[in-house]
Amino acid sequence: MKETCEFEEWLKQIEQKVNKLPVEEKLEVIAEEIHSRYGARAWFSEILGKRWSHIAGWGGYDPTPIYQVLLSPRYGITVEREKIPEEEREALLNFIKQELTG
Amino acid sequence: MKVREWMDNIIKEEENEKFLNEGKDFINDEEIEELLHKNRNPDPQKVRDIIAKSLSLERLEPEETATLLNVEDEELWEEMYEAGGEVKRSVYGDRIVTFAPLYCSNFCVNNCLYCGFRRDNNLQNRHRLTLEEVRKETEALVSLGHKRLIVVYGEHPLSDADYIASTIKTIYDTKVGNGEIRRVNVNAAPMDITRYKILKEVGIGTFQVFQETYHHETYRQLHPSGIKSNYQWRLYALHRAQEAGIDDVAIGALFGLYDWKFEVMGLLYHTIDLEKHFAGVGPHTISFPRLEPAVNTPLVEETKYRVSDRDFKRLVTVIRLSVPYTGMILTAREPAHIRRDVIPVGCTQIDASTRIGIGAYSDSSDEQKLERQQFQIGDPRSLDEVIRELAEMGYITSFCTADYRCGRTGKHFMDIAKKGKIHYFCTPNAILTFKEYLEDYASPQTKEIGEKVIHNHLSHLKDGIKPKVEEYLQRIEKGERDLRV
Repeated sequence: MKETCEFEEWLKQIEQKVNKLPVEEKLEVIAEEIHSRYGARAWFSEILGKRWSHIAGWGGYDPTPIYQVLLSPRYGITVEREKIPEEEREALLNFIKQELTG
Repeated sequence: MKVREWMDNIIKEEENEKFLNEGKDFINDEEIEELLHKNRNPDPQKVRDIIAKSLSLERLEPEETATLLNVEDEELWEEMYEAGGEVKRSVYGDRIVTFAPLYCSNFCVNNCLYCGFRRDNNLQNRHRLTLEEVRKETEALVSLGHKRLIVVYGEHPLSDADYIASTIKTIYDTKVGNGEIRRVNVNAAPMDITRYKILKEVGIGTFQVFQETYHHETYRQLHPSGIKSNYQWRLYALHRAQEAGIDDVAIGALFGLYDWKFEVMGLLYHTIDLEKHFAGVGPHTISFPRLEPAVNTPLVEETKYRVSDRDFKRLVTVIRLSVPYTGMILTAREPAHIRRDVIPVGCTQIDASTRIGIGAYSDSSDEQKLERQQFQIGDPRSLDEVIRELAEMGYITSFCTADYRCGRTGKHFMDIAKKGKIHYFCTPNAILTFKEYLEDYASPQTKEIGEKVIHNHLSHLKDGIKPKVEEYLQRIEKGERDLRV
């Protein structure tokens, strides 16, 4: 329970941080937060057909198993999913989706 | 819309203004000539210091490149050839990316004196592929094993941004068995920002424009009419593309129009200016085609700037050393023996099974038809033959398109490449896409040597990624496709 509250508190803090920021800056902050909380590299792309064009975040210098998730028809995240606890993954993705549409 | 009216609406000088310096562009002909003159007879130690800088993957400054261009000592050149290969290996590893060009239309409003497609060339048969023909050409290319194309168009209202976008969509939508084209790069005329955005939306790979010659006066003489006669519109084509959000762009010069040393300097200045304006993101690739014969195009035979084979190898080497982290494309304009000799000094990409006639891939004849081509190609070998030879040379052929499909584009890609670490991604993805080729398309001989090459490269992978690649290889053998890291 305590962990859930702490996770939600973290999301709230990010929400406040990114409030009113343009999309790219918003996603930059979210990518940094994901990295600092989980040690997971995450980066965001604008989806243009087959192309995922980088807009924010950082993937590092070493290849690693990565997962690509559609956040909206326009944006996607590439992330080291395994480093994010399963119980937080979905809520985190939903939070990002909301930030993009909200 | 009439052709003249269309032409009048292409150039928007105001989109270039922010990049100009008091109306002047970044190519200062006198400064380049002066640098080339001033750095004649370079001291060997100075040359070796510059080579060391390249080996540390730093981009060279114009004076340093001018110094390398002036080396005459054959032993020093041997050191530079060696260094070029080492630079390439340390950035990209031993992989060579392979692609095919697809010419979609040879209508053109320009009159470039060296080009078979030029407007006034009455011996050129004109055709624009229908979307059905594009699909057939794509099927033929996919059936050979290709995953990457560069599509090529003349500058004409019949091949405007909307037509280009439609052809690219058609290519991406075409599937044959396990095969499909996963990356379409584009070689087309410079556009304004609005038109670039149309192309951006369909998900192109790299947008490529060659300046042909960077020498202002030569450019003026060779491009007497048409939109292309505007030097600066072409010079800033890729600045505008980046402004439009196309973050992978490619430059090139056509060697043989002017002094090759000047053109190498031009390519470097172009790189520097792109990096200056776009947060360090210069060209994704540099191309260095040599002038080749074309139907009814006497200038090609008459040029006094023809580049010898020796100088060609030298210019490729100096480009490699000058911009260590950029991809370099050696095309099938060159015959096989030249490609064999020049690939090792630093090339990263080649085309194979190349046909450049409009509609030539779905044409059953293997003969080149010059009246349908921009120029004559020198290496018409099949993809399988080229791949087999590369494998015999120790290279692994890559059909990788992973970077641009997972957000390693533009600055993200360039930051990794500049640190010399992109090969950590290139090698695993080369192994995986090469395995797909061996499973689906290779001849028995190519498969045999290809498996050995994979085994060899696998043993050099970092421990962190090797088990995943081994797992993916097994899954590919079982029929899965498009696995990547």
